[in-house]
Amino acid sequence: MSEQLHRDWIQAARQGDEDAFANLVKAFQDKVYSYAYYVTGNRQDAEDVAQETFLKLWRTLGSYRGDCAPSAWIMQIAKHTCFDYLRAKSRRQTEPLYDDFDGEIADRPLPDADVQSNPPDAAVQKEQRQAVAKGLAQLPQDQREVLTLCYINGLSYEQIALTLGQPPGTVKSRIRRAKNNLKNILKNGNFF
Amino acid sequence: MDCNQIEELLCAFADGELDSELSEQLQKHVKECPRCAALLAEYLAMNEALAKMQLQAPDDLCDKVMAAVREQTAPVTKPARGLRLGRVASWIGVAVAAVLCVSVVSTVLVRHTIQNSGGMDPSPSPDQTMSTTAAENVDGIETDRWPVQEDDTSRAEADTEPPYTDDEVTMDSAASPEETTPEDPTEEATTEEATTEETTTEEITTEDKSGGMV
Repeated sequence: MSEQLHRDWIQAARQGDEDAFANLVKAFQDKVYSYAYYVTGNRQDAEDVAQETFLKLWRTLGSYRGDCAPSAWIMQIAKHTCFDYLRAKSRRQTEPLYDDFDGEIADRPLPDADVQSNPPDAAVQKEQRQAVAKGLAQLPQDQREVLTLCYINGLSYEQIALTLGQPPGTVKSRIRRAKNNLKNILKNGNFF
Repeated sequence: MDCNQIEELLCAFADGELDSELSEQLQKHVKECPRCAALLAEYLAMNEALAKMQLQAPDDLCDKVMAAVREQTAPVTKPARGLRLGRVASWIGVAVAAVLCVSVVSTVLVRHTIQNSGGMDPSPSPDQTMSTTAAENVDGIETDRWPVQEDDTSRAEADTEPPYTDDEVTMDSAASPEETTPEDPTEEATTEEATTEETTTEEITTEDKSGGMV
């Protein structure tokens, strides 16, 4: 969907148009939920964070100045909500991540046309996704975060830099480091 | 550029984050370097694998969000208990602040009246904030500002006595035990209460400023 359409929805929602806001939620709920899941590590936390992110979005619609893409702004809200949530829960790094990943992808499989047309591919896809999830779980949180924003949420380096409040050069080197680490993990597990 | 320099740029190149000039250089190098070509292929494969990691939000997430939004924006016909109590508390605060202000002002006025009527000196003291015209007519000012009581005239004759004595006597007579609250029968308690009241007035006023913003 076009960035301009998102901007129009934001503008309409500011005037109290709840339908426009619902469209925004539907447009970004998968990205926000995915981000929340890969940062928090479980479904329940991800759902709580996603819900709170959109409620914050509703309350702060008036603060959007339009100087960045709506996706970057919304993911910025998601990031702050996520980390506030984790801080409030006093989440420890030793807690297992993505323990419920199998249930997650089983309950809500991706609407992938290729997978649906060729069932054996579905099994391969599922196995690959499980491997990547395990690999992500072994990365430091900041590296998980940039990989999620870049490849799962589809943000550009510049948008990620805005979202995280960091220089683009830092984002660029962190992404490269994260991908190399993930690549090595997957290679050691013979998934690459 | 050598392979080490190229390698650092390959990830960004795979992500489409390089400018056109650099992209052309890398494209040319990758065609001629199998090692860098293999590394680029790995990065692209990882991009594809990661892109498939996007999850679907719960089916009812949007409904839950919109329900919460409508709850926040619904007109308040039955205010929440906390909100109702908050508003009541703010009005109580206003009322208490008003009562305390009146009591403090009246206490100050009473003391000032007693001091002025107790002195009865034609030449006003330097501390008195009377105008020049008013100083020439002490009686007039006293009559205009504060009512002159018969007892005040008799106290004027006892000029040699310490002023505090008059104040104490006056305070006791002005604030008779019947007038004070049952919990504050003594003068010391009254004095402390006045001080406390002044402090409390500021606090309540401050709270009121904030509490009034509902």
